[in-house]
Parts: sequence; structure tokens; C-alpha cells
Amino acid sequence: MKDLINSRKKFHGLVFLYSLAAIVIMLLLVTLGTAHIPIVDILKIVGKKIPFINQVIDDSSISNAYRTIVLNLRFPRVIMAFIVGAGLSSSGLIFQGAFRNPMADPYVLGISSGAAFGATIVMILGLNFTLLNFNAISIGAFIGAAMTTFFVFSVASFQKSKNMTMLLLTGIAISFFLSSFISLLMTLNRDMIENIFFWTMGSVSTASWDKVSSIIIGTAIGIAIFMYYSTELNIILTGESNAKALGVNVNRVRKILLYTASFVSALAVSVSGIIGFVGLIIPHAVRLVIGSDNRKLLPLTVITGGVFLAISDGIARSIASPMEIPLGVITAFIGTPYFVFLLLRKKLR
Amino acid sequence: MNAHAYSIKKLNFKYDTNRMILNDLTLDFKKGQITGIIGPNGSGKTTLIKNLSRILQPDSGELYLFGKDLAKYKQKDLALTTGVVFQERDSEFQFTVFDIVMMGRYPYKKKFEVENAEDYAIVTDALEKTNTYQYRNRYLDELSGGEKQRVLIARALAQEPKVLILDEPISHLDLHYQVEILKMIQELAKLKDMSIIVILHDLNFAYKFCDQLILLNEGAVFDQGTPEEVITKENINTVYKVQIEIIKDLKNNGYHIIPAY
Repeated sequence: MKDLINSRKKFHGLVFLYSLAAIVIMLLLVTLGTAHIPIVDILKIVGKKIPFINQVIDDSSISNAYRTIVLNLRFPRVIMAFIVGAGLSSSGLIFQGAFRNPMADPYVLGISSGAAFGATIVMILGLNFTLLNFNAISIGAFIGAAMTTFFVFSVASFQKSKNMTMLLLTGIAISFFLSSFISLLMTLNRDMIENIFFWTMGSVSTASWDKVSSIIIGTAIGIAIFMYYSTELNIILTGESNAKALGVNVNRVRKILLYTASFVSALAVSVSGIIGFVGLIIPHAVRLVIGSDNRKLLPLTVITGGVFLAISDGIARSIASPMEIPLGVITAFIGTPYFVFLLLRKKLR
Repeated sequence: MNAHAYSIKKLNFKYDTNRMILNDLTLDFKKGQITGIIGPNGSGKTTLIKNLSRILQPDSGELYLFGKDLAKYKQKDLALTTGVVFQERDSEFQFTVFDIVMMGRYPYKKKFEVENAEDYAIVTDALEKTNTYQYRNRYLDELSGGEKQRVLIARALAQEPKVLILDEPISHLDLHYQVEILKMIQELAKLKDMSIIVILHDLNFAYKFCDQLILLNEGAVFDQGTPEEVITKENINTVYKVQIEIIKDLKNNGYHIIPAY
């Protein structure tokens, strides 16, 4: 009993330390950029925004331009990268668990190609409007992702026995279809090729507080739902029949989790385009270190995925400054070697 | 007082195809006894226990668990009454043996309720009974097939069910653990008044360890009763298409069943 309590306390301590480290890393990422702003000034600017503490901080030496850069450009960008990374990696984790398939990722049900298709249509039609802080391309991407997912679910549900393989294959088939459709649209609208291409490579360069506020609540609620069902998901992973025999309502839990994960990843994709790799590899990397218990895996995956994407974006915007490297390229470049390292370390132990 | 754990009347079940898998089964599973289900491959043994555990819903017929309509049980209440160990051991995901067995306490827990000293004691007891305590901190996928099997039985024990259903529990075990597990099952039936329903392939073990036997053939009950009544030369020859000899063991006051070919 004692080691049980100890390990739980240890874990809570670990999550706390890890969160602190994440915050420090994100503050350091705010210092990255063309204008050199020292960390001390950044701390002052942030401190000035916090009640009570702001009484004792003197930021009069900092220029207003710096203040704007830090508060309105860099901070929302780092935070949006974190939210997108957290959303993609946690929904990837849920897809892997709900399908009991380690190869699943947030895009497995055709969300990426659906979003890209929606975004492409909006770009070609030249639509321009905003709704709930989302711009037209984001709205198009979200609708595309939602409709694709819904279509995949309805096709698969025609089968009497709820076969997960059927759902996966339907998603893959729809993805191929939509990707071909996008290629066709690109061929017919050659002037839009660059825009479409860069959108599908993923980026958080258009981050703003408006965008942050429009995805943060949905993502947080989604992650809370994942957490709520993490015990059930653990049991489902050890076998569906056995899970039912233990009193888990497998079909219901899985349905809720799949819909929620689709929603969370669609939100992320709609503001950032298609950032590959994060949703597949981050859950695996964390799992290799702490095992498959979703109650522990989930919070650590959220933090790791968020920080990983924030760091990747830091590199993407500073390595070839003022040019930006697509975020999907960076995530694959730094993620792959690290993942291979983890796999090898596991084998060698 | 109801003497039957499960009682089923005219149970019919078929999968998507039209072939009837279970055909008009009428059976009683006595309380506190070990009931063995035997029969050739494809005779409907696993489908039957999936109907008993409500993994599958029958097409027609009546199913009662301790006198109450099985369909009326809430999912968690059913899990408190009946524990099942299926033949599902392959998982790409890693859980420690301790975590797996602790999952047996799931039906007792409210949402977010953490495990208490009692759960811990019950899990430890289940691990010790199945001789898997020494593996508690190892990942399940690092264990051999037989060790995994024992861990899953430990989880069902931690569930503290009144009825324990086992799908070929000894099929991956060496001789030592085959006997150990069957002895443990016997003890559970005697000491804890647990009703056991077990699918077995080995007719010798079925003969020796079961109180009652059900012989299934092509989805129908071919015969049921005590082992002496069910395992006869004629029954086995008709159902398995194999000749057997039943040899009296004077030393141990038992019988040996050997195929004669």
C-alpha cells in the first residue's frame, strides 16, 4: 500500500516538475526572434500583466515596440504551438488506444485530407470572412474535417458488427480520394498551388490571441474528456471482450472518445494546417518511457506534445530567419532521430 | 433459494450469416459447482459463454443469472456477479501485471475513486493464489503465454465474482500449472462457493475436475450430466469421431481416457 501511495505522489511530483520545465522552456522560446529581447525584459513584460506582482515591477526602460512584439506576436505564437501540439498528440494517443492500433494517428479517419480539401475550396473561391475569431480558411478546414469524419463514421456504421478495421480502411480510402481531388483542383488553379502547398505543410505563423482563444476551450474540454475515460481505455486495451466482462461499456466509451478526438484534431488542423508526425510519435515516445497506463500517459503526452511543437516552431522561425521553414519539416527532422534513439535504447536495455 | 447460477431455456444464436451457431440450448449451471463444457472445435463453446457474459446477445430464448433475467443486469452489476477470462492475450500495449490485476477492481470503483487498502489486499491475494506475485512489476507482454494466462485469471479473481467463466484456461500452460490452476478452481468452488463454468479440451481433466459436464456438438447439447454419464465411448465416438478406451485406475480409484486408433 505504501509503495502505491508513494508512486502516486511521485507521479504527481513528476508532472509538477515537468510542467515547470515546460513553462521555462516556453519563456525561453519567446526570446527567439529577429529583435533581440533579453529574458529579463520578457519576464518584466509578463510580470506587469500579473496582478499584485505588477506593483513591484519597473518596466519603464522597455520600448513599446518590444512590448508589442512579446505580447502580441511571440507569446500567442508559442502558446498556440503548445495548444496545437497538445491537441494533436493527445488525440493521436486516443486514436491509437480506441483502435488498439499503434499505427493510428489524428489523421487516420481522413481529418487531414478533409481539412485540406475544405481549405483548398475556400482559397480557390477566394472567400474572406471571420466567424468566432476563425478566418475563412480555418472555417473551411474545420467543416471539411468534420464532414469527412462524419462521412467515414456513417459508411462504417452500415456494417452490423462494429468492426474497427472497417472504420480505419474507410478513413484511408476517403483520404486518398480527397487528396486526388485536391491535386486536381491544384492543377486547374495553378496560381493557388503555392498557397495550398504551404497550408498543407503546417504552420502557426498566423497565431494571434484571437486564434488562441478560439481553440483553447475546445481543446481543454476534449483533453478533460480523454482523462475522464482513461481508466476505461486502459481496460479496453487489454482486450474488448475482457473489457466488457469487467463492466466497461466498450462501444459507448469508444464512440465518445473517437468523436472527441476527431473534434480536437480538427480544431488543431483548422488553425495550423497539417502538421504531421506529432500525433503519431509523441504518444509512442512517452509510452516508451512510462508504459501504457493512460492515466499517466495522457498528462505527460499533452505537455510533451505541446512543448515539442513549441520548440519545433521556435526552430522553424529562427533557423533560416527571416525565412520560415514549414513546421511539418522540423517536427519530422528532430522527431525521427529522437524516436529511433528511444526505440534502440529500449531494445538495448 | 435458487440452486442455479445460470439457467437458460431454448437459447438460439447466429452471427451475421444464416448458419445457426447455438441451436435451442436448454441448460442449467448449478451453484457452487464446476461445470465443464466440452465439444469439438466449432461446436459453439465460446459462443455459449459469450452469450452467458452478454458479449453477444441471443436471437431468442431466455437467460437467467441467479433467477434474474440476464438482460436486466446493469453492466457493472453483471461484472460484480460474473467474471470471465477470454482467450485474448495479445496486446501491443504495455501494462504492468499489477495494473492489469487491479483492473479487476474496476466494477467496484466509482469514477476517479482511488484504490484503497482493501483493493490492494485483494489484488495481492489474487496474485499469490495464481503464483504471479513475483511478476507484479513486470510488463504483461514480457511474460510467457502461460504466465499471461495466470495473470488474467488473477484479474478475474480480483473481481471477486460469484460465477467464474474460463475459456480454455489451461491451454497454454505446462503440465504443472495445468494441475495447479485446476486445483485452484476446485478450491474456489469449495471454499468460496463460487460457481465455475470452464471450457476444457482435455477429457481426462474434464473427467477428474468437473462436477458436471456439458457436451456440445454442432451448436446443440449432445449430452449433459456427471462426467461418468457424459464421457462414454459411444458419446465421444459420435461427437469426436474418435474411438476411446476408458481404463479404470485401481491405484487412484479413477479413470483414464485414451484414444484408441
